[in-house]
Amino acid sequence: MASATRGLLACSSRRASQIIARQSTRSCQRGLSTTAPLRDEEDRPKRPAAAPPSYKNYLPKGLDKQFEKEFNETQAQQLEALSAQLKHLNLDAAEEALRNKKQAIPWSKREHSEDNDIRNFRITGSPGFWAEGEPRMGPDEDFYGDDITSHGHGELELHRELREYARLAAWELPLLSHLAKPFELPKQPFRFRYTSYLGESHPAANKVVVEFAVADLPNLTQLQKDKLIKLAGPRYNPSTDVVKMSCELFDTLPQNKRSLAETINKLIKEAKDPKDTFADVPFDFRHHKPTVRHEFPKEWIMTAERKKYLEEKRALLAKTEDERLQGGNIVDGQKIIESALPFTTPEPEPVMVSGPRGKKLR
Amino acid sequence: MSSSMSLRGLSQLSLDAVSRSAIPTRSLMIAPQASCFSTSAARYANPTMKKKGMGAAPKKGVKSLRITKSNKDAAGSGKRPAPGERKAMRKRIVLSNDNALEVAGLQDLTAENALDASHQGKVRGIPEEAVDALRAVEAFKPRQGWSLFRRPAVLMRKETMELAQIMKKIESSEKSKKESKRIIVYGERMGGKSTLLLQGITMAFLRKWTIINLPEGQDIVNAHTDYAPLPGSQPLQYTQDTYTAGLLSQIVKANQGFLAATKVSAKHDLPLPLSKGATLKQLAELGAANPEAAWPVFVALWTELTQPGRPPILVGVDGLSHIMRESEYLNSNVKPIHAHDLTIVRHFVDLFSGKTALPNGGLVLGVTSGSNSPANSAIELSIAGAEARQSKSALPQWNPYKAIDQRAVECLKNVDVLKVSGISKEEARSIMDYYAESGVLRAQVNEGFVSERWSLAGMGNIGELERATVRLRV
Repeated sequence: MASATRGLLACSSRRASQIIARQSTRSCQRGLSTTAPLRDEEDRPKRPAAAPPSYKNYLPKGLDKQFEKEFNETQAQQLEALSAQLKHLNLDAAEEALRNKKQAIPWSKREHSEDNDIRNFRITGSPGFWAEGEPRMGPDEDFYGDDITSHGHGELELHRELREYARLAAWELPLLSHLAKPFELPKQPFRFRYTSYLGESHPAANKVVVEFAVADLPNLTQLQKDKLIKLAGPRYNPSTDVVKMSCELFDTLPQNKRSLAETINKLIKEAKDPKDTFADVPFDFRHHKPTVRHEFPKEWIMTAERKKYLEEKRALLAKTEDERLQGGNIVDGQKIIESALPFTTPEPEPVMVSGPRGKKLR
Repeated sequence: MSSSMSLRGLSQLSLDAVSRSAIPTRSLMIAPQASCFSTSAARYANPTMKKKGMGAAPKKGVKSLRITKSNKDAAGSGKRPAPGERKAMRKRIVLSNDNALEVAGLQDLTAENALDASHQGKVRGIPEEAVDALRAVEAFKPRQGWSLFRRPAVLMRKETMELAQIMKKIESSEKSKKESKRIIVYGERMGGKSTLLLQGITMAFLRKWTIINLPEGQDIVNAHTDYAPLPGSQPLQYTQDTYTAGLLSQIVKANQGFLAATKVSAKHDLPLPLSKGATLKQLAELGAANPEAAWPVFVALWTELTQPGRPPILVGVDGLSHIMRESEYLNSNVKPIHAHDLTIVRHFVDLFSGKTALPNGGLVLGVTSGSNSPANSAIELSIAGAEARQSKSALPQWNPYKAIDQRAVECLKNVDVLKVSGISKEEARSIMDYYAESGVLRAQVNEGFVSERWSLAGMGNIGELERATVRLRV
């Protein structure tokens, strides 16, 4: 009922009869709009034009007239109530009310302030920011202007954290030295690397990389080591003397590691094989480009002696230059060209003077 | 609705306004519209030219579409240079410039003082007869700046004096055991390598040496001249008759005095008859005139030149890296012929490697080029090795995986090197004085100016110095 009145209120500029006629056919209305509805008559699904849908079709035949009568009565009552309410909206009535020092229609005091559709909505959990200022939440916390901002609190928190770590560094870290162990060479020269992606699936998760220095391999002569380097090919880094190999051929880490171990075993076995020592094959390091680091030359450093030497040199140069200048031994190209060119006095160029128009000059 | 109506009405109104009233800015465009009923403009207009192409359709059999330019049109647009004229222009060498000033105190090199150490750091003129010889052996190069000055003069730089010292040593060596020297001249681009060869030839000419110069290595191997297999050679060698004939004529021009004064002493097997008691000049001219006999004549001439008691020989080649690789010539199996299988190159290479001795002493100069030189790792290796030998450091390790010409390596195994680097500031000052006195440098040549230009020229690269002082004047 209330929503119905609200809907009617929304289109109060129309005549009541028109409203009702519309109300029976369409449920949705747009308020206070003069534009035609976007969907035109032609767009609507065609219905049999003769029989507009009516409650009559759903009623037994005997009840028909009686219901019509009742319906007219209820409609009349509704209209009366409506016109009474609409009286407030009438401009003259509003002015009259103002004259009588009456307030406008108090919307909040209306009985049905809540909408039917949201009546059953309950607030659960913490109210949050959007509930602030709501009367049922009670008054806001009082702020008397005696606290710093949240950003300031953040800064303070940061400072506290720093102090905590400073305390740790001062008191706890020195104790770590008790846990230090002397360095021991690893038992075997191979360094394996496995990569964990922290539970995520990754295509390289099963990859194993091994590095070993050729010089660290036991029981190999120099010739055998050389052969091993030649066999390793581009996996060998001549700057660091390290062979680096990897395997991701198989699905699991252990399989890949086993494959690497087998390859290394094969390599060492081949390197030890004296049948062909590869002594005639030169090392091929074309795959490796050593990084060149240029040092600042020692001779260029500006020491006190060098400064003195340079100053003396410059002074000597200036002196000889001055002597040359005094002795007239400095060649000046500009002067030479000027003196070499034939001397000519600038002659005034004859200028043609025009006589009066149409007359011959004499 | 009403608003759109009113808008349309407004726009129509404005259109009307445009069409009716002549707005000043558009009056030119609108005027003919305004007087569209008048025919006077058209009637009094000048008679227009008859439009081209508006005539009758082309007749059958007449070619109306001409895509290619006819020869008539091309000939009419100007005189075309004759064949070879453009190249002659490009290769033209101008050795004097009348607009340049005569340098007052310019001393010439003479036969007596040519090898003196007193020339160090001075600019010296090249005497007239030496210029002719140098021109004959093509020692002047087209891109050098000779045309800027009144007459050719050279700076006697440190490297020149080193060369002079070497020549002095060769001259003063004992008669029974004459010394000979084989040198690669190398250095950065525009550094003066070819000019150093020119200076060497000048000094040799003045000291009455015999001069044989191969002016450009590329010209020998680029397959622009004819070639033929040398009968009876094993492995097969190839002669270049036309080139050899040209070389013989150059030798005649450069060594005229000595060749004319000396008679053929040994018996030679020549395909052409040579009169008895003929001079070496006649012998060489015989080869120059008859290209088919050029190579035997060259061999005979060389035999004569290496007879005891003859003067030392200077052999020079410019563009060394061209003749230390495969040539552009093809053999009967359509495989490239190695440059060392060409007889002239082989002759030079044997001298350069020391395989053929110079019994009367001499100097073999191989000059690399900075601007026209194919990458040649053999020369690089030999230069690195020679430098290591000279500085007594460890010999360089050669990368076995880099392609290298083994024959070139064999040839260049034991040659000396002479590096042509930048000139010193004193030398730069001397040459800049010369520039200023020639009237091509309009500046006072003082310490600051010299230092500035010397630095601009990449620490005294002489070609760049000439550029920075004379050619590019800002």
